[in-house]
Order: sequence, then structure tokens, then C-alpha cells
Amino acid sequence: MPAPNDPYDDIVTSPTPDDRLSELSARSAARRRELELNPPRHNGSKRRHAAKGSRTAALGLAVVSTLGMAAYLHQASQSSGSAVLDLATTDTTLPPPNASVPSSPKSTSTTKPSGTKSLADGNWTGAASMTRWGPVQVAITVSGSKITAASAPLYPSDDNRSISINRIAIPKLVQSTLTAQNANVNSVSGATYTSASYKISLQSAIDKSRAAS
Amino acid sequence: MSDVLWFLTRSSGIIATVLIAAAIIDGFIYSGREGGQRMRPVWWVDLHRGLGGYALIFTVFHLLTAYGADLGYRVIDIIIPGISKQSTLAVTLGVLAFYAMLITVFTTWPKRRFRRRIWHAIHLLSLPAAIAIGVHGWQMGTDSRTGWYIAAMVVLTGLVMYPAGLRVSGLLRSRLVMFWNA
Repeated sequence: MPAPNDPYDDIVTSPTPDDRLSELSARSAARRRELELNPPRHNGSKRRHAAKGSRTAALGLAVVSTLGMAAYLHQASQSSGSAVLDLATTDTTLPPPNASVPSSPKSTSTTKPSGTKSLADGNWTGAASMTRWGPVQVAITVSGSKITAASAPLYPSDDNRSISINRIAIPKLVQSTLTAQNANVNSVSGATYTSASYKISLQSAIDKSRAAS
Repeated sequence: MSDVLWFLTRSSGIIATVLIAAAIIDGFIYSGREGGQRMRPVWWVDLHRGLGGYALIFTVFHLLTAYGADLGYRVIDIIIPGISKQSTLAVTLGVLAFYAMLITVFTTWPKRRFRRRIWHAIHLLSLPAAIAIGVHGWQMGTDSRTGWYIAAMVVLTGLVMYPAGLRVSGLLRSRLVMFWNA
């Protein structure tokens, strides 16, 4: 005796297997027609996500983290930069760790252009600016009111990683200086701190050249 | 503007790394049947696919911002591995990892078209990709020497290794059982 509401009771009572098979085929065809006429809201074209809420939360968290971290890195960079600016303003010369550096900003000015904002010819050394890995100092040579040479006599070189980074970064920054002719040089990937301090020291050297003109 | 993009490059790279690690952790939990009773396997696999997709999106964003930040990379540098003139090894690893991620994600959707063993072998590309991403970040990352980055990477590695260990030990156990029963 089958239980009441047993979904298989009609199978048991089917007259023959062939009749049952044709009945099921007819039902299946009717169901397909019904689905074609009234497709369900969530069919194959729109996947259902079992973890929809968690996925949304993960995406939101990732976006917020990215923006928040970018803001934090910017803030950290700014605070590092302000320390450097203070150093530049007081014109403190840091003790060189591995490189020989002129003990004070020097100028061998020869000619002064007529314009007040042009650069005075000569060799100018910017104030050393501090990164978390060590100081960066830029020296420029101005000739005909143009920066004709630039170098970094002082840069972080206390460890192999700093040396390998700056060996690549400094020539790029120097080249960028000669191209830009100002302190708005492109940062070098992987040498963010060196680039930021380089710009500040370069600006310091340019300011000294301008002040002397 | 390029400064903003530069900070976004750094943060999106770190978040993409975290998302990749999270996707791998989820994958190990799902495949090792370690998800517990509360969440169904379909929940774990859905979250795994979502995290993998988001990781790819954040990686693309990382590439776009790196290019837009005017860091001296050409489009070809981030398409063809090994031709970048600066940080060649690190950039190459990043590009290869990106391709591995693309293959992993885009073979997940038509998964049923592949034989399971082939699909599984392709999907396991995500593991060397994750290692390459770690090396890429360590070599190129501006923040890779900071204390918080090192601490985050140590924690992340631990979080990945734990379910990976469970998965491998489960696999070995089942193989041993099969061996003894044979």
C-alpha cells in the first residue's frame, strides 16, 4: 500500500511500461512548451550565485581597501616629503654614507642671465633630502640658462637592494632632468622614494641657481 | 594625475595579490572538502570563482594604472614577456602571471568542455602564477621593504599554506588508502 501523496504511486498503477513511457514523453513535451511560453525568471541565461552576498562584500571591501590604501600611501608620501622640505629649507647637509659629496652647496657662477627667473650659469648642489632609506642629493650644471648636466652624488646605498635600484633609477632621473629642464621629472617605477627626494633636491638646486641670477 | 595613478597602481597590486591568495585559499578549502557544515560546497565554489574574477579585474586595473602613471613602460612591455628594459625579470614574471590568471579564469567558465584532468592541470597554473606574483611584488614593489608589507605577506603566506597543507595531506591519505586496499 503506497503512502498518501507518494509521487510514485501513479507509476506503480500505470497499465504497462510502454503506456507509462508515452505518458512521460507527452508530459515532458508539454513542460517544454510551457517553458517556452513562460520562461522562468532565472533560467540558464542568468546564473544564480550561491555566495552572492559574500561576493558583493568581497568586491566592496577590495574597492574600499584599494582606495583607502592609495590614500594612506599618498599621506605617507606627503609626510615623508614634508620632512624632506624642512631639511631643504634649513639647508642641512647630511653626512654622506658612502659617497663623497661637497660639504656645502657650492656655486661657481660665471655669468648671470638678464631675466630674473632664468637660471644662473654654474654648478649648483641642492640640499640633501632624506628618504627612509637614506639621503638623496642632486647637483646640476647650468650653462646658457639650461641644465646641461645633472648627477646625484648622494643616494641611498647602504644595502645591495638600494644600490641595484638606484643604479637604474638615477640615470633615468638624470636623463629626465635634462629633458624636462625643471624639477617636474617622471618618477621611476620601483624607486618612488628616491624619485620624490630627487625632485626635491633638484628643485632646491634650481632655486639656488634662480636666486643667484 | 600620474601621482594618483601611481598610488592606485601600488594599492591595486597589493589588493589583487590579496584577492588571488583569497581565491586560492577558497579553492583549497572547497577541493579539500574542508568547508564545514555551515556553508554548502556550491557557496565555496561560487565565492572562489568570484574572487578569481575580481583578482583578474584588479590586475587589469593595476596594469592600466601602471601604464597611465607614466612609469616608462610601453604597451608592448606589458604584453610580451621579457622585453621590458627596466626590472626585466620582475616585469616578465608579472606578465606571465597575468596570462596564467587569464587562462585560469577563462577556462573555468567553459569547464565542461574540457576533460577533467586537462582542466585541472590548467587550473593548477594559478599556483605558479601566485608564486610569480609574490616575486614580482617583492622585487618591484615600492612598499616591499616596509614592515607592514612584510608582515602582511607572511600572514598571507601562512593563510594559503594552511589549507594547502590540509588539501595535500587529504590527497596523500586517500592515495594511501587506495594503495592499501589494492
